[in-house]
Amino acid sequence: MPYARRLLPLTLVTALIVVAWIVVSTAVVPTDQTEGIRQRLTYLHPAFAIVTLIAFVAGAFFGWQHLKHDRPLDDLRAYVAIHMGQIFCVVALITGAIWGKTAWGVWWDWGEPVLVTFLIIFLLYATYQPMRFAIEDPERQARTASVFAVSAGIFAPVCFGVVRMTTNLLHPQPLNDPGSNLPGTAGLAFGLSVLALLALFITLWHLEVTHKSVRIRVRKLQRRVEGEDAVPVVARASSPVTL
Amino acid sequence: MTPWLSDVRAVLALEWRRERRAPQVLPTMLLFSVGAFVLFRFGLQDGRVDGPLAAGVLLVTTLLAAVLGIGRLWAAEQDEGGLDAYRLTPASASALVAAKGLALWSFLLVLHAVALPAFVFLLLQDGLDGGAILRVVAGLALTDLGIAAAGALVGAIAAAARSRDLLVPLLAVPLLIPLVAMASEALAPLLTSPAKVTEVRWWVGLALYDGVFLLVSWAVSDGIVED
Amino acid sequence: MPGPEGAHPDAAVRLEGLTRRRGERLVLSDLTLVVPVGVTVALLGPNGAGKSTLLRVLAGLMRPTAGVCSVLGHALPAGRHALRGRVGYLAHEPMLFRDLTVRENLTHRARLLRVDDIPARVAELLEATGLVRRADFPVHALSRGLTQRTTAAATLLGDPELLLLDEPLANLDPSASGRLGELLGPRPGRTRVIAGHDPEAALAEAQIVLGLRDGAPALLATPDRVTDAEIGALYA
Repeated sequence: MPYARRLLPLTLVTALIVVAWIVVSTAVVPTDQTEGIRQRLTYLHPAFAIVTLIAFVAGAFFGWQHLKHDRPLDDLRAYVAIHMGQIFCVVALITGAIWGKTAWGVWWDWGEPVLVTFLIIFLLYATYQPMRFAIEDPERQARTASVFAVSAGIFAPVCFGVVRMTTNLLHPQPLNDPGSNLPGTAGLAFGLSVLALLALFITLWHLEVTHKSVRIRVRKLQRRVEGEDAVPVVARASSPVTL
Repeated sequence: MTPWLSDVRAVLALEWRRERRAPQVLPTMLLFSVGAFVLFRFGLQDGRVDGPLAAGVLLVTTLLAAVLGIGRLWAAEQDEGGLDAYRLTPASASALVAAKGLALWSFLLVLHAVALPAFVFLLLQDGLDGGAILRVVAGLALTDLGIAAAGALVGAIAAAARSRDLLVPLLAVPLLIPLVAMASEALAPLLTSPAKVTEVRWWVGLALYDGVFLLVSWAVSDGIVED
Repeated sequence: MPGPEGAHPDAAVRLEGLTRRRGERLVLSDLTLVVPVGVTVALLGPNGAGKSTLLRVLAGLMRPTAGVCSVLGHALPAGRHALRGRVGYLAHEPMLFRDLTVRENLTHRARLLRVDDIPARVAELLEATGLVRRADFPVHALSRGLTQRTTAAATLLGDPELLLLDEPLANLDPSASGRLGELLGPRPGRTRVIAGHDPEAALAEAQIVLGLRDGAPALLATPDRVTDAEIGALYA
């Protein structure tokens, strides 16, 4: 059962890393001579993309757990992971578009494989809530959502590989590009950005899982105390309603 | 024959029997494909296509036709209670999913047996290079297998929902984009005359995609069939 | 009257505090019952009392949310796979493929149920349900009564040890009703749970009467102890 007591230390650690990330990427790292201020997007955009993928893979993992052990809590965990992933995905798309605008002068480039992949994955995951909402029976909904989470979570990395293969590599790979002459602090800033957003994701995920499960348990208790009919049943929800 | 295989065979035979008794999926997919080719003929201003454009037209038409088939794949299980009946028998969930995938694959192969000649006749610039026919067929078969594996999954997810027909294209199209992208790379060199050689990596990519989705479908089959 | 206490190795169905929720809604609550092998249970109760849900749970089609539910010696939901083929469930909906004929439907089901001599078994059941003349009709061309007979035949294909019957004689004419009643009737070693709205008929053939009201057991007795007042209260 998820409880709130882990939230405080989690939040403090996250705040620490986030502050370190902001300080390093804005003040410590020198501004790139050729690329200018735009280069600092390296410490924002890729991390969002990476955490998005981690979120979706986590969704697949929890979905798989749910299918295997049939615990409603795992469905809730998968739901929140995917829900968070969707938000991170939108930010990754927007920052990617800003990058494109500043680097290539266009908001969107269809020849850009990673951008297109993200759009595909975003489109797929955008159907997650409508799919859940369209299924009335809560158990059926949970199981089908887990099937979706597993398939889509495995699909996302596959999709990445394929689109990388089929389109020319335009997307900068700042970490394994041998020609890159970024200072050592840039690597640190990049690492911190991934770490910070991952910590942020974990904290928010934990908060949301706790929040939703507390609400579900409060309703359960209220029903037990005041009687079954005291709490109106949620007619149809896209998020899990039982634990 | 193991019980698993005989279950797959029984369900596959049933799918074909139902399709023969009340043809729904095959004629729909066929008419749609040929109609789309005619549409392209006019849309491209009586033009003919070859190379990447030809591959794109053929594959996107296939995908959209397949979406129609995917929507019907689990309809009887859902509407006529066939899934409950199946779950009361000792037959395994993976056998049902496998049979559904095979049924869709066989429908798509039959579709291509008719749609490919129609495509060559209606749209392909210089006709099909005789030496490339086998490779084109192999490419389409691999593509169809991928569509079938992903389609069985998508169909099952959508079947649980009320708005089944709306959900299928939403789910299927993003899932099949990589497949279409690779199949297009594989088929484009073959649809010129004389045919060029496809890079090996596209064959490998297609086979990998198929493999991944076959594996996923098999792994989640219990979640699909259980209620 | 068998109680819940003690071991019941020979019980066909053993429920202890069985609870089933559909989402947040309570559909079955705290049901305790032991049904020995060979016994017939009459399941009574108004619409929405949870009769069909109970049958689905016993068939292994629906998971219990809480409590013990053991069917033919297998605890559900973990042991549901071991039940497959041993439980016959006659539901409200026919569970037949409408485009296929009666014979095709039965043959297909028999194949999945691993019936030994399929043509013989199908012919036997067609004969018993009086469907021989309609055997090659597609199901969608049958009347509701004939569809019900086909469903009954499909339920009996594997000669199940536990029969779960949801209003088995609905939509049937008197002669078919008699024929099917006999076919679905008691046999040595066959345990039956029959849901229905006809208290008199139910009391006549049952050894246990279970009345449900809003998912909770409102009546549990042997037929000779059930009074008209109790039946009336159940439906009031």
